[in-house]
Amino acid sequence: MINKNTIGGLLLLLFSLGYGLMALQLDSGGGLAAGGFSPRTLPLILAVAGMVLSLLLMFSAPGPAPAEQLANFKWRPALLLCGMMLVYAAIFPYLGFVLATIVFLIGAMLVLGIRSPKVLLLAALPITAGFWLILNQLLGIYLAPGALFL
Amino acid sequence: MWEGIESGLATAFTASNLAVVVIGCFAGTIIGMLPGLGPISAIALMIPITYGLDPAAAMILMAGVYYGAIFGGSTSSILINAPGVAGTVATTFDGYPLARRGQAGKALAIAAYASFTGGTVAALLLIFAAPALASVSLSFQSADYFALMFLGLIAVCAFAGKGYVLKSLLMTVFGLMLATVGTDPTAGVPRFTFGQIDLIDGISFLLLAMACFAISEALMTILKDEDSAQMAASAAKGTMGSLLLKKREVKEIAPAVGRSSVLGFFVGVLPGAGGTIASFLAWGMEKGLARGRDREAFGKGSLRGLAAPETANNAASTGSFVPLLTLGIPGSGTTAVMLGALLSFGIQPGPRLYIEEPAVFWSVIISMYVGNIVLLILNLPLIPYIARLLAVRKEILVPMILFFSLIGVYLVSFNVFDLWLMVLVGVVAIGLRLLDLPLAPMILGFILGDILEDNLRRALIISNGSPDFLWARPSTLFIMAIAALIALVPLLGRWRTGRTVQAGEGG
Repeated sequence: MINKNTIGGLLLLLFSLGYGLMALQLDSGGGLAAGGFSPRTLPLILAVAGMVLSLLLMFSAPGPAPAEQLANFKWRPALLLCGMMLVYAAIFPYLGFVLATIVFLIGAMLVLGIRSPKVLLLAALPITAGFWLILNQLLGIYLAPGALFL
Repeated sequence: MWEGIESGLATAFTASNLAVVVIGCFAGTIIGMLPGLGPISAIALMIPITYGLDPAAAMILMAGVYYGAIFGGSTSSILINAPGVAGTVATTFDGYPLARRGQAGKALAIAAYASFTGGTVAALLLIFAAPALASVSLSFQSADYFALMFLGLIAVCAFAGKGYVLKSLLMTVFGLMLATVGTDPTAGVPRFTFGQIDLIDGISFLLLAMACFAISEALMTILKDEDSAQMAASAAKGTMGSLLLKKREVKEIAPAVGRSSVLGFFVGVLPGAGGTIASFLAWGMEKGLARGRDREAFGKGSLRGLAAPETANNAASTGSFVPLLTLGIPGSGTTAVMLGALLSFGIQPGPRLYIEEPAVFWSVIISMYVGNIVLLILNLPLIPYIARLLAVRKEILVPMILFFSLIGVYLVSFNVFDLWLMVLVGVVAIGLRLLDLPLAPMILGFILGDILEDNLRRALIISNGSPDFLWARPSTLFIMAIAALIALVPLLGRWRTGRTVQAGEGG
């Protein structure tokens, strides 16, 4: 029966396999492989250890079935929040710190169900302004303006 | 040693560093109280701020945050039965029933006094234990260090608890794998960088810590739809009761506090054991020692039952600094994050820290003590007000946590690639959590990865590629033997459980 241990073990087994295959293609360091130790020595040891442990986990005592727990989760807002973080990363270089942060904070709060414009602005604007002031004025950290304003 | 203590005192008692402790304790208490955020997240969130400070002040800030977060965790355990971290689960057993009886103030006061005493006793023990261990470890070579790292990693897995030993081992290996991303330090060969120039220096420790703890915990709060803000608000508005203890009550808890302080410290010194095991052991020990009505009161609001885990938890937190400061080996996820921060300052904890940076070494130890005092005289009276602040809705709080995490990482590298990577790591971390795979051993493996590989390489070069470096020196052999013994702990536990079941069936 599929349970958390089989899924976790299988995913980490695949990861270890991929990691091991990539480790085999690593440059062995030529003459620097002193003491039999090259840049791929530890990765290969880890890949083998990862594969053995993943297999052990897959065939160990069964863990709880994942479906029961996952059904009650609120996936939509969590996924939308991840999306908002990606949007933040995407717009940051173009809009700069201040605008990108305001967009992110307001967007994230909207995703979580806050609709009152007063709450949205009162939460996002002071935080952004305060942070900008601390960084620019107090700590002297230069935040480059967005590419759109250059 | 005394000159070191003097220089530590001089560093710790500067006005700026005292302010840093106060701010750290305060910020730690607030963060630690928030649902889902424990000491690791609290420290991770503080790391970007520490880059603007000198190493001593940075460590002092993190030590303050650590203590504050533990105290904050106890507060949410007592007030709303929501332990932020595993270390304060045992606090809920008697703390929450006391709060429900209208004695929240008394419960919080006991938690603070017990934490203070546990921290004080442990800090005194640390003053003597740390230099002793540091002087022994001065003679250590690469092989010993490799063995020590191995011991630390094995211990974290062995003490991970039933059902988590194998998972912890696997996650440690996963963390070690992540540590190999980037340029190999000796041969200069890029490893697992996928041709990305942004990965040449490897994955940033801060990015990994923030994504695994702050971001994934904030997102888990949304996924699970947890909302304790309302409960916190009602708890804060409700009766706190008196903060004062009666003479009889002090007499009742004093022996438990004394015993739990020593027990907690020594459990904390063991790599991997930490506050959770210490608090459960102390609660169990006191229950075992109690007789008659006292014993029946455990789990229903016993003062001893609250004082013991609180004391032990705090003493263990101090104890966990012994392996970190003297051997450079973090004994817990929290101290692993601190080690990462220290390394990014160019400070290598270990026996040489005691000699080369006595001001850092001693000011951290002294600041821990100052942190305890701050918690007692500043935070305790403010708890009812802090709890009210926590009534902020999660719909506002979570975006703020995400923003602080993202911008904290960006401000270190000024590289937008880190933001993309952070979201990816955060999503992977949630997946691992959902699969019940623990993240703390992964962080430990990641942080120790570079040092472990470096020492393994040196040891192998010295021994001409032979594995006999593992037993050639008595000190290496001794450490490896301890590692082997610790590795047997889970097997012993399973054997004992099997015997108990057999005896139960037979009887």
